[in-house]
Amino acid sequence: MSSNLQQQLRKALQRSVGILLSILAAVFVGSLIMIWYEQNPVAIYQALIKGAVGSQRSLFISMQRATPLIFTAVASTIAFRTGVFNVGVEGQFFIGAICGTFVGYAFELPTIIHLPLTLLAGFIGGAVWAYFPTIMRQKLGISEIITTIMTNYIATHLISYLTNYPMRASPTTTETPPVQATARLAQFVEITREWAKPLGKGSQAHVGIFVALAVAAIVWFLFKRTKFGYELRMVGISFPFSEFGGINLDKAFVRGMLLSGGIAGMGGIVEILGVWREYKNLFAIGFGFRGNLASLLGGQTVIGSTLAALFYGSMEAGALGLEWAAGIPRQLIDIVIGLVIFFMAAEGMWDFVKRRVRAPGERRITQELEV
Amino acid sequence: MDTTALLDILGRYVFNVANLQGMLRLATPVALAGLCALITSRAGILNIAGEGMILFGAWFAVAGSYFAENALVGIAAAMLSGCVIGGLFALFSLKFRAHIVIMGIAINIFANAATIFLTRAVFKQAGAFADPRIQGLNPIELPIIKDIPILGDVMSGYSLIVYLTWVLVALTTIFLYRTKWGLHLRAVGENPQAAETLGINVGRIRFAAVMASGVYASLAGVYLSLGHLKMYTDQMAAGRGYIGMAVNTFGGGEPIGVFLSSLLFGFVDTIGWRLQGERIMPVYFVNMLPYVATLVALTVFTLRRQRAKKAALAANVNDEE
Amino acid sequence: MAAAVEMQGIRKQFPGVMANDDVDFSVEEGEIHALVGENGAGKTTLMNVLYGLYRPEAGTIKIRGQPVQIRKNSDAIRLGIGMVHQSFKLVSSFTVTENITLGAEPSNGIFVDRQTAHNNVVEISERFGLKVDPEARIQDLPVGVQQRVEILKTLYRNADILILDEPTAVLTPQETRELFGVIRSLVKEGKTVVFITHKLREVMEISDRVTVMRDGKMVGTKKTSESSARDLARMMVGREVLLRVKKGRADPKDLVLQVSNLKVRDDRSLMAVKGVSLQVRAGEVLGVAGVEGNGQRELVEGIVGLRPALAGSVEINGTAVVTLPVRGRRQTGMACVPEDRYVRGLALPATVEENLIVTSYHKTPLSRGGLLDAKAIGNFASEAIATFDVRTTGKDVPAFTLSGGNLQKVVLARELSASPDLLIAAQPTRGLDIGSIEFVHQQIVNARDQGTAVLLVSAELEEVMSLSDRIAVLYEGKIVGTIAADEATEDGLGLWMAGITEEETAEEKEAAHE
Repeated sequence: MSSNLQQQLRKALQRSVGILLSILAAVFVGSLIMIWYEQNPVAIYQALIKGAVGSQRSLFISMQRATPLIFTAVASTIAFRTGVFNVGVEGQFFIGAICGTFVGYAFELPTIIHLPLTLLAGFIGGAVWAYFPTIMRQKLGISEIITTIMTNYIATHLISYLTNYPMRASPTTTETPPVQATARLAQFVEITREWAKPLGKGSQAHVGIFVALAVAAIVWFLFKRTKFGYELRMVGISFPFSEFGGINLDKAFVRGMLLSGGIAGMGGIVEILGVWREYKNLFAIGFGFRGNLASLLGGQTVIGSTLAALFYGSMEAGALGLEWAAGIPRQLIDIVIGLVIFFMAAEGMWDFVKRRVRAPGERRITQELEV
Repeated sequence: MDTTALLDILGRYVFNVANLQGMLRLATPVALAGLCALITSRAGILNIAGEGMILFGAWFAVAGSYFAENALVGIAAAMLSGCVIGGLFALFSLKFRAHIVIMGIAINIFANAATIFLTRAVFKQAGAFADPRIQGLNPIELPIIKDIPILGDVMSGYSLIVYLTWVLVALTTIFLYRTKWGLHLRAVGENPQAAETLGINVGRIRFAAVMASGVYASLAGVYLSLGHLKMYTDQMAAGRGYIGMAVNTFGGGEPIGVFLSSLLFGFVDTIGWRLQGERIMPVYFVNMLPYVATLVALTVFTLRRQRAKKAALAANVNDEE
Repeated sequence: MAAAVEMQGIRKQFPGVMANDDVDFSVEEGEIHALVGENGAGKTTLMNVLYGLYRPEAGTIKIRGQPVQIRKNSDAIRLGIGMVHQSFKLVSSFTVTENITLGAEPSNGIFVDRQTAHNNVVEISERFGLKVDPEARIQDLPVGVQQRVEILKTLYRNADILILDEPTAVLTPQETRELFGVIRSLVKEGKTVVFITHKLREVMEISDRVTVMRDGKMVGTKKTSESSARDLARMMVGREVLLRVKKGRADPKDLVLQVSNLKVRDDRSLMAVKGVSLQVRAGEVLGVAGVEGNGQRELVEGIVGLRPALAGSVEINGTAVVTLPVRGRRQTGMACVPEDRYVRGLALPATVEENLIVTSYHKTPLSRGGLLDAKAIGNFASEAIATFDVRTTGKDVPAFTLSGGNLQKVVLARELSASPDLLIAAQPTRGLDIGSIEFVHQQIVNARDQGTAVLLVSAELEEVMSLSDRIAVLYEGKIVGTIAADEATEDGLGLWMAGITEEETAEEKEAAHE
């Protein structure tokens, strides 16, 4: 099958070139922004890369930042491959976090039960939160884009309520009680405390990264090797074909969304268990939306999303460093990555330029844009 | 419940000048977001970038007002940003054929990041930016109307942007139903093939519709930052772009329907704050109200429409047998 | 007097098919000219060329003796050519006036001058005898009136030459009569009308001359008074015998498929299948012939489970399946080669292997527990590819890399691999080359010989006659006749396909003499 391999390599190459061009275009525009900000783009990109992978500490910070993104990126990918846009990953992430946190502090159980139980709680929380928009789309045909975004906002306020009343640690704080030690995910610094040079010093990188990678691997396996994965893929590729072949569209669709929400929820609780060990108000960070972007960057494949999440995480680490050093707001990274997405999504752009150059030609038939 | 209690509730919550004023005010950004969704949906385009366009509008309104110390400059800057972002959106999704939903999501995320970045970079503030130099829109008292008892209180004393919204609702209606371009736009949205075969330039109309939606959305942003509090806060739009899409659905794609639906939202919002002020409902649930209301309203609306369709089809069967 | 329209040497090619092959066509001023042929004959394409929607690779056009260049639609409109398509291009929520004047509205500054528009519409409607209510909304109007609006659209733009594409396809008999009245009055006003149809009864009733096309070529033009429906039917369907599949006698056994009084709606909520009953036994091929658009798609989708049945029943091997989903029906032994090969039958971005297993992945041996058995699937796919001689570089390549013929082989491989009791084949050889057509035909006969009941639905009369043991003809949602294959003739079937049943042949002979 060497020609098949050749074809696959060629496609990967074409795709990489596309990404590369988009990155270059985005970097270029980003440089313009930096110049306007009276900074030296070259120095900034250098500092960025150094902050991302330049030292042991940077690597661990990158790992830590990437961990939640792997979950949300994979969650977005699952939904997208099934043919839906799950922009509710944000809300599912936090609902999973709060559910898991509750199980984490409310019970005292041996670690071997407590930790998996807590993770499961996160998964269930996220899945349940994804259920409402899914039902609305399935039974009523209401666009999941609006409904999932609404659930995001509802989640924010619901959690504010929970952490301010029923779940607060004490009347004066807005945080929950800390998660029991039996449910925590150890940080590398903690594990290697005794060493001469502890790993990950100066970072909060934790073993959750392994959980993330394991989940990504499981989802990859799911897609490739299980009946369920096959159904999801076919439904995402073609509704009419799947229906004709006998696949139950409704079941596949709902299960796909619940899995997506569940994984997003797991991402939320993993972040709590590894970094904060109690529920903190983290809404401004945008784990969900960054996961959406990483999934897009990665071409909506599990492996691609994971790599993109790692890349995004390292960029965030670099941007953090940049912020400390030069005072440039870390949102610059989001802007640059956003620009990469723009240029990537506009693959028609290069065709468009080519066509214009060649010949005016016949008018195209109108394109329907309503989805 | 006896009549006095009922009347008391009605008096406090429904027929209450303060509440009605709140309703009209809070409806404004939702109505503008609704018009943003309307103009593109009537042209047959799925536009979910309203949220991002509102954010840019809010930011540039504050920036313009701050640097020129003039609110009108702020409005102009906002509208310009609306044109630009609308133009970019149109360019990438219509001309370069990027997937329109992905593009919309990308714009919203990009706008969020960009406005946060710009606040830090330009104003050197994080989270929010307020400054005495920002000129807001002052309340306007309508000359004769303000003296009418009760009605005067309800109709007068709002900022320019609120009145502008009412005018825009009327103008949009006239545009859609009385002008050539409005007719063409509706034709493009309903049956682009028909329009194309009659020589109408479908691409150009769609492009213009998207840019116009940017302008509408930017005005919603103007309300948020200049119309009430004279400041800019991160993520100020708070989902109104999406609520606008829902309001467009309830309003049946009609400007007046959009306006009435947005009044409903304004009303629910105001009541919520009232309930919070009176310690009946914790602020968290009040904050949730617009979003929960949107979900409930969408569900009810769709259920009713489904039922109506089923009834119509059932009637048809009888005709044919 | 120069002909109103004179087209010479028109050649129009689409990928894989020559739609118009060196066609000459002319229409006299002031006549009603019928253009007939089966699906794929090329008549709509030819008129689309005249209307400027397609650019031909070769050929010239003269309007009233003057050579013209028709490069785009607006050129044709400017030359006074108007066309009413089969699917109306109307904006449902707009009024009659708004639709007629769309794109050319009289205006008053930036506002539309509604009064003037209204008056203009009233004027032309009265002049040509096309009664419409200018302020009614299209969505409230019956189809017949909507068609009048489309005609008025062309008249508003000063069309002298009107092309009507299958205008009676959507009309009731009453509305058809009204339409004919309109056509006659248009001609009285000096217009020329070209009328595309496959309904020969109508051709005999209204046209002055008739042109027959077949397989992209011009067959001939005749004066209607010097021709007959039978004559035209023969011209429409007769073709060189390309290939006759070698098959032995059928030996039908038990009843496998029983369809009783089935009623199915189409996408526009009109009744497309109006009470169809048929039976297919194990080991026989029942061919359903008919011009496309007479309910074939909806019939197949209703049997397979892609479309709900409004009334009637479908039984496969004795099991009532009308309430079952697709998978449930497949489980009773049903397989289907769908008409929409690339939408229903295949997922082009998916691999060949993935396409092959969609109907069987959930059962052993291809999966166990929840897991797919990659090796078993690989073997299955390789075997299928070998058995059906699918030319592909591998089972893991995306389906869109295969040619049309090979893609149909993939579909056949999948559907036949389960040794089905019932095989439904809808338009199975559309768009395929000779070699692939032979192959598909052979597979169908093999399946029959192995005891499968085959329901063949095809617009290719040649194919139906060659493969079937019994033949039924579907016209306007009803079976108008069933006959044993060795008793069927092309002429006879052609007449049924054109809606002329035995009793009517005598009637139309009378009518033609008037």
